[in-house]
Amino acid sequence: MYILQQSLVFDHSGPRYVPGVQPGEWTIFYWVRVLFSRMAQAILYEPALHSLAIAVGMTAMAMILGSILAWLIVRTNIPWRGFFSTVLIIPYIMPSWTIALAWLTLFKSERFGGTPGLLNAVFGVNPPQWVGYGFFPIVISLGIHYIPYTFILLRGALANIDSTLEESAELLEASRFEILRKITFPIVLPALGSAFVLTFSKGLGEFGTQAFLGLPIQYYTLSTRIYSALNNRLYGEGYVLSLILILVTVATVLVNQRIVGVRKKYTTIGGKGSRRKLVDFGRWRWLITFLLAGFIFIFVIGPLLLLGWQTLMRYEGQYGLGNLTLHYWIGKSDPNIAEAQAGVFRSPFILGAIKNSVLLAGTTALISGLIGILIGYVIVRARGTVLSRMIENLSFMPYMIPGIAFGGIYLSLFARSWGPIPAIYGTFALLVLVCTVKFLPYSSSSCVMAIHQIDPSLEESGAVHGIDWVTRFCRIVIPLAKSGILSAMLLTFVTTMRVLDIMVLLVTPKTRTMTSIIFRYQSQGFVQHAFAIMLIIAVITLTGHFILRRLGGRVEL
Amino acid sequence: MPDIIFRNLKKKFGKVVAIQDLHLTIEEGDFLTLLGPSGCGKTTTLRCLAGLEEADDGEIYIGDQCVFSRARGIYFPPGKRNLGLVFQTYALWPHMSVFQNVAFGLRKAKLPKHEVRKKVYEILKLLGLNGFEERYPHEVSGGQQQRVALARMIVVARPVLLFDEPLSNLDAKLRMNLRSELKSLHRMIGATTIYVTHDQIEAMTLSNRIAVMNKGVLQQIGTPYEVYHFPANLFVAEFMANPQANLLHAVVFKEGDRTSVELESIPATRIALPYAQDLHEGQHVILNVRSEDVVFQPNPAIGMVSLRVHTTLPAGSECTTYTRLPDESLEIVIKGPEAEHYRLSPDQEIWVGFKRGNVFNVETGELITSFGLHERKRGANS
Repeated sequence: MYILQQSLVFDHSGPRYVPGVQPGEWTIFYWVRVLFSRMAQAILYEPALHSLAIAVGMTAMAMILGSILAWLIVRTNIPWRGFFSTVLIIPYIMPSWTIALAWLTLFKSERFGGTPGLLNAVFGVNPPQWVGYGFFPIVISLGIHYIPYTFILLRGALANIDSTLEESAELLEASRFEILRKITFPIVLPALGSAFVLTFSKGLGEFGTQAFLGLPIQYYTLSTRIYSALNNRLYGEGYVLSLILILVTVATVLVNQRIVGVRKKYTTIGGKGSRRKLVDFGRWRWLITFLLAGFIFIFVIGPLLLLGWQTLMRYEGQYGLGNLTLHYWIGKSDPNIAEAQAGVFRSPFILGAIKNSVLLAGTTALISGLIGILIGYVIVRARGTVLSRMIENLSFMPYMIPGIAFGGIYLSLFARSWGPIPAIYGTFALLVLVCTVKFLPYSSSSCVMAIHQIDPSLEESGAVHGIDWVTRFCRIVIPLAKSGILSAMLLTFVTTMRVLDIMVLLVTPKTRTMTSIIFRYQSQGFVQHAFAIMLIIAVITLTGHFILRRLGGRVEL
Repeated sequence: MPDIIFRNLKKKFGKVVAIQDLHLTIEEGDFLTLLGPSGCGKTTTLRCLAGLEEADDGEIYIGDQCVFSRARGIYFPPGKRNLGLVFQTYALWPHMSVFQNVAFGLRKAKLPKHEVRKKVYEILKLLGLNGFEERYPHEVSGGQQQRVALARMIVVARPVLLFDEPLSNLDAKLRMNLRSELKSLHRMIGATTIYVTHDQIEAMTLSNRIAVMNKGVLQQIGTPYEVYHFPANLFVAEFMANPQANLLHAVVFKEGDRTSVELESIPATRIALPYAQDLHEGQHVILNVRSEDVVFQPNPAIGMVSLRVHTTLPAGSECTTYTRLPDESLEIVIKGPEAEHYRLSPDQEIWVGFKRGNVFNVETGELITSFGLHERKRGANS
């Protein structure tokens, strides 16, 4: 709400546009400017169109590939399905802009990137601009990143369909294609629907990829427009855009829920699914396996290798063996290289960022774990009451708001003091606060699941013995929900580690995090440093998820 | 209405043997039940016949048509075997209405719309489902779902009908109703029917032939009467018993043409085995006497043994009584009309004898002979 008010008030730039007004006066100037002025085309409509086009394109790509992959993994007899199934989640675990960065090193052209990309260096051709920047690569990178949404949801749905549903049709002489079209597809439609909602609404607000691949050629989207507006202290404009982005996102989610919800509701009951006959590709299965492995190599492992290689190159853009060095990892400050920036493990600036990131992620995880278990407890135990529903919806809200807009809200809220509370902009506490709130849906949903599994009678038998609520909660609920809470905290930890869009508006040099300095290094051209930090994040998040799997947790969407 | 023949059928899941060399012929128009505990291979047999599972070896014939042969490389897909199947979970398509579910199988026949409509409505009416056409499966009760599944199978008029534990998800009363409906439906349609269940009462009430299976091996095939009264081995005897079989280790004694046994847990007492044949003096055997074939009286008598009443479980029409030796080394269960039992009180001493029963070989568990009076004595090992 506050952001709405702020969008109706003149900011410091006010006098520049309208002579004679004081900052703080009420106005609809920014709304008019964004929506109806001569500038509206550039500020709002074109970026919005870009955002929508990207969301449509990447959703289509992610869903088509995700569906095919899920079907291959669950329903066919290709080898190493378990392995593929695990590896295919990796793009989602890493920051969404990993592929964007790798893409840049491959297709960068001298005209925009300064130094030549790999393709240019090896073949001497300058790839056309549309390949290197803008719509096309953004759709590809985001499409790959969001495959796991469709993949995981559809994999679950396909595996859980009662196999007799399809067998009955088979007995009635339905062909394989007819069964897929008339039986299987309608049954997994709800799963596809929720995959669509998730992918589309997330893709709409995505920031990092669009910034890395769009900004160099002034290809703006809503989220990068918000960033540049707020970064250039055009607060009014930025807030208006943030509100519009939130509105569009929420609208998509609601419209989709409506469409999916109107249909006859049914659940897919798990039957004897394990006995299902798998589709046999015969000799073709090896070709398909090969293609799948190639896909994974190019889009999952490839980007990491490419980025790793880049960090070992003394001079960017020279792809010879003689150019290899460990300088960017462990080298001391050298005035001839990268403006005397020391290697990642020697630079106090970068080490500070790593410390900040770990501290931030740790604190956020701890706090949201604690709040999550309380919220989960209330939601489950008070099920059916207004309070339960309210908390459930409220704790889900931050999930729908795009990160960049979320950052914008907090910027508008805490750039000033509120009564006794000082302006916490620029403090570590603000980052903890914003991350905790933003990622609360993850931890509370994980805790809801954990508490669901604790039978109320376990607690009631404690109550019968006259044990008070606090003791019951600490001695019965928490120990039993332990692994759920732990998963929630770990999940929050890795998510916070890799987040950029919320952070990018709120960090100051003092509170810099790993992701925010990647953004800075990348835009300043110190790519080796950026990629090295990127790899550290990848290692941390992958390790985190590995531990999470060991704990029996799931990859949350 | 064809015969169905299984020849040398074998099926393994990994290392677990599901079917071990099955030979079975089901005659035209039969209602055959495959009966056995879970994991005995009965459902796998059914799925192999339907083509939903491919056996590792052997042959399956439906009528003159070989639908599966490993040796000759024949495998008919399920849709080409001309049979219908009702699953335990009913397998109704949740996204289709009752009408659409039933009409699905008719789409191949290329009938005009009103013909399809007429046929579906007829079948739904036959099964008492008129008025539910536009409902979705989750909007009708369990018993009605079951009927929709039946309707979907019957509407396409297949000569072979298969049932995979179709009643096990229903409550007891509904199950009774549907049993009699199934029976009259079978009479009406006359299709060769194979019915899989683990419930011996269901098997007895529904079918005219029962095939008992255990661990992938066919134990016995016969009429319900034969399987119940002349179990081929101890497994069948125990499985068919209700509530439980009285299995007693004993030694045979002969005095002229009279035969009696000494129970191992009660030395120096004799229980008479009326009309027993084919047993010789000193033979160690296992007796199986079903609870309703145990007789008792309050006073001592020759050929009976003394036991004490432990508990009685009256159930209205009948009553089950557990009697034991004082040291609890032996328990015999007695079942009969309630009136016989109602004066019994715990710890009361009663005298127990056997009306009829079966005698099994100690080593092999195979049936040696049956004793007592049976209405029609048939070969026990057909």
